[in-house]
Amino acid sequence: MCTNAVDTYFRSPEYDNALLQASSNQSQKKIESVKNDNEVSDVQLNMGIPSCQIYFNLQKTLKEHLEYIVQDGSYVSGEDFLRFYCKAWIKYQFISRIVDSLLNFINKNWIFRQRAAGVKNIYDINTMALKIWQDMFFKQANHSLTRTCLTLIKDERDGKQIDSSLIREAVQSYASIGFNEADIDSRNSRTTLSLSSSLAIYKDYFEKEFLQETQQYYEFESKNFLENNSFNTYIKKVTQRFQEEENRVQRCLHPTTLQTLKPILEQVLIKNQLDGIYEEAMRLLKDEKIEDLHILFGLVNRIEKGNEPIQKALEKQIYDIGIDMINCKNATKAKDPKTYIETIIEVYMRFFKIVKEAFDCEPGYITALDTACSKFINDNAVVRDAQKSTKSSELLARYCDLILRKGNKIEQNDIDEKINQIMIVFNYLQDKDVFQKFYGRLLAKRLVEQLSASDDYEESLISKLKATCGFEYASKLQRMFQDIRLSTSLLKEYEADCKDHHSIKIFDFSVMVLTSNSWPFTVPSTFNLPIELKSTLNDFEVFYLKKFNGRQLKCLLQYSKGELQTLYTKPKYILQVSTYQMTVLLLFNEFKNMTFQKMLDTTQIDPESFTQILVSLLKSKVLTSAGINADTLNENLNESGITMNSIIEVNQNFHSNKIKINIIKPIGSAAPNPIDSKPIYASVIEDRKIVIQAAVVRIMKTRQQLKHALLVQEVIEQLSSRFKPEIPMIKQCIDLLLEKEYLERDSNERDVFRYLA
Amino acid sequence: MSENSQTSAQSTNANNNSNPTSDTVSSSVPFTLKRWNLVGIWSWDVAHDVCAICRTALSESCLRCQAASNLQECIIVWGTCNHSFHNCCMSQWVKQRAQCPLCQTDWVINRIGQ
Repeated sequence: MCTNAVDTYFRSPEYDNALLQASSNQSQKKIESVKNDNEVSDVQLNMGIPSCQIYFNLQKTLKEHLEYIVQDGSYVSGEDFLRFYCKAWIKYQFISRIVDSLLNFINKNWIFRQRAAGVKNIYDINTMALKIWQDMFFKQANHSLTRTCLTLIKDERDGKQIDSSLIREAVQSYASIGFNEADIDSRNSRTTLSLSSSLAIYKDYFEKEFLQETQQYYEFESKNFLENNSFNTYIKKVTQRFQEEENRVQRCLHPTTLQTLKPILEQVLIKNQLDGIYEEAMRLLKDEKIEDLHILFGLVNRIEKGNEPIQKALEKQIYDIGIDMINCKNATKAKDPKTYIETIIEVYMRFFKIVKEAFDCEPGYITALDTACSKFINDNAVVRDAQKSTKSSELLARYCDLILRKGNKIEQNDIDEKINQIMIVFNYLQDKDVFQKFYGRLLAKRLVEQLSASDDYEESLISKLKATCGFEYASKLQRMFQDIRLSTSLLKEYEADCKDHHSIKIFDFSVMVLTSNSWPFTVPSTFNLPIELKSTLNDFEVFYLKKFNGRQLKCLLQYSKGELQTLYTKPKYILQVSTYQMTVLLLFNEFKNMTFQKMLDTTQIDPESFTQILVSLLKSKVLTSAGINADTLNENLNESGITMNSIIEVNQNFHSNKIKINIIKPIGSAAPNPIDSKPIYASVIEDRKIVIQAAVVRIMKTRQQLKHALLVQEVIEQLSSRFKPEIPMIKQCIDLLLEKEYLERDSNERDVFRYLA
Repeated sequence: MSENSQTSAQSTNANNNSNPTSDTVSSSVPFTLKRWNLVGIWSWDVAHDVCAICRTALSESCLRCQAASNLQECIIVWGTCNHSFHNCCMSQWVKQRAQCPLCQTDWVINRIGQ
């Protein structure tokens, strides 16, 4: 009870009256002392008047008082009676509380002793007052009260304005006057005397009827409503009804009613109409009506397993649309990494929006989205066309290359978003190992050719891959990065070293030194480098091997490139050339012209590569040969009229609009030199065999003995985060392990394997 | 690069080309080298590819380091017998037997990779 309210009351004239009423034979003097000091007065009063006298007198007074009230109440009925009842209840309740706290000493002493002695029918003051109210007034009034309340509620449901405070007060009285003997006992055994009431009266006299009424009302309403309205409107109406009902319970009924009311409403309003609601759901899903779906989701989500049919439908729809979207792009365009991946992302985004906005990201819907996406991403027209289930992984890696490459023409902020999108698709990939292979190769090329748009983005993507697939997955990629960084400091050291030795620097030299097993490169066959390059290389090699013990250094000349300046032209052009091209061109610093054969002999470049190099130089018109048309030249030299004895010389009439000319790129096609996918797939298969064998050994080591089918199943499970192994391949690996005597077949059961330590 | 350094580049060029064909060079050479970006790749200078102790490639980390996901480089050690192993592996091995696992000669470290 609020003590402040009591304090105020003590200082009001009402207090005196109430006090007089409660204990009529007390002297005025003692009341004065109560005013001054409550505690002292307790003792004095206790000594002055017998507690039992006060108790029974009070009981009598209350009974008489109530008789008058009941009398007054009999003149009114319906809502007026309810109002009268509520008013009387508020007043009565107030008085009884005041008296209770005023006579607290009786509660604490005399009544406590009585109850401890097991005397029945004596309660603490407040309970006694409530019991009188229950006996004298409530027992005869409750039927009419409940009916009136329910009528009011029905009126409100029908949209009429009502005074809901009446219901609240009435219900509060129902809830307060309920108690039972056991309840009081337990209350007395504690020292607290505050009221904790039993809800039995509320439940029996009000809630039961209320629930019945509600069920009838809504059964009728939903039937009627659906005759004249569509399910779409019904869904909205029902949602509104749920809100109203919940609101009403909060506003005027006892909060516990919500739990019993909800199942009834759900049964009547949703479950009974479930077929229709699902039909509507399918329609809305097809039209992707997010707002309506959200409303509908609010309803079906109330029901256990209510979401399942919608989730299934959603999954099918995402899958169908994913397949269609890829199908409807024309065949060549669909294979383009950009089109392909962006189509996938488009489908994902479209449905993620639905899952998020219509279904609040409920886990079941997320699963539906995930299942559908991984299904259509790993198996669709493009994948089938390529006859490789791993095609999506390859295309995603190539898409990453497009995004992270210099000159991608993408806004900075967009790249972050694109990286996130890449990770979304990546998570759905079945063959993450294939992605890793392609990605590694493309990354290596980007780094070595210095074509990466930004280290930050590269690292951001790698760290995301690491977070998803673990340390090992990204470790090689990370080591590539490390090499590039180390190379920068290495070059600085080398330059300082050169300065110390006063070596003359005749051209700009830079170097990258890679770690052999981290990079997917092979060392090409060597050839005779021009003397300038050779001496620089030797210098560097001496420096490097002095610095690092036990290493050998080889050149990746296919990735080494440089710049030459033409001195015979006006203006002087800068040619960006590969080391091979450079080697060929620098020959002309010694000879005015040369035959094909002589060039080949001098450089010692293998003939096939040499042809390509020469063609590229002839095509770019830096070199020329009498009687050869550079424009129609192709790599088939016989057709082009080049023989071993053709004389080749510098084109004195070389001309270009730009000062800096890149002739590394194959003339005529601007595409970055593609990486060949065939050897990558071959190496993927080899790697997989090793990974599968390792998995088999791991599993068998822990299990010791396992049936074939279970073993295969466990292998698939264990590797699912990296790729989906094919069963024949697993069998092949098991055979290999049998051969290597890691495993043996059980002599009795042929399909059981045993691990041999 | 300035004109000056260009001529010096040419002169060094001519000095280097002390071979008999130098007389065929025209008065001014057609090309001059401005820049070269070398890409090199290093590997351990070893006779065997595989560490005889842990049976993994010497170019990779040793088995222990791989299992521990150790990003630190796992270096190589050469004995005077010119056999090479992971330094981690060999340091475990010599605790039991101070002989080369391959040729059984007494193990003396020749050099340690860096």
